[in-house]
Amino acid sequence: MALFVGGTEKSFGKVLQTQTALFTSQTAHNSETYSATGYTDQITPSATNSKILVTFNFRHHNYQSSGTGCLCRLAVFRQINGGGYSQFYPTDANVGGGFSEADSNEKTWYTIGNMVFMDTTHNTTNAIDYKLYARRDTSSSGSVNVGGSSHQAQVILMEISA
Amino acid sequence: MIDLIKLYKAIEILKSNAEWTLIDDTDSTSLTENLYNNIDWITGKNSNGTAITTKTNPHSEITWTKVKTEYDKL
Repeated sequence: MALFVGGTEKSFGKVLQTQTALFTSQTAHNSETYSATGYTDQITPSATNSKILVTFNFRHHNYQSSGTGCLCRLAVFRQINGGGYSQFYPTDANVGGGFSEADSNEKTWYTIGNMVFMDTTHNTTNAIDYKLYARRDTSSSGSVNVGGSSHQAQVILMEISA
Repeated sequence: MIDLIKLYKAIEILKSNAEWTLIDDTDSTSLTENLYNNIDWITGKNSNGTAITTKTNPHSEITWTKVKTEYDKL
């Protein structure tokens, strides 16, 4: 079926393949340097100009024993053809959640994280890995924990034709 | 799986500001030596912004026995 908009035939991207991965693992991150969570998945595009819709759904919680806040940064790193991971989305991740308060009371903050973005720059038909990384924000204290209590996390990768 | 907040507290009691990361994909609710030995101790930063880690604990104040004792007290 053709769809015409304003007299012009429009084409829409088709879903070429999907990959999904489910996790119940948890990770701890108490540094201001990124470290990997266990949440990852791989897709091998069928065309260099296709797009990859990337979705990470997960729980995380920030814990402060003292100090004045525990903010986290979360980012998805990408690796193409086993060439090593580099930060991909957001390219310059800032605070992704947590609390910043003037008191130093012990506290924990729980939330659901969703990261959804389109990779339009892979330009490859080699395998692509996407992996979630986490860290504490600058000058935060405490620990950033991803997952926990067997809470399910899912990664969905969807290749869409150009 | 274990209580990561308790593990953080236990290690912080022994040495504050020790940096580490851990992937726990076990079903065990008690801290085991095998899981403790899977802690990645952070020693620096790679050029891509990720942590340089080692399984060899660089902190003499932190040992399996001491961490287990503090963990179980919490």
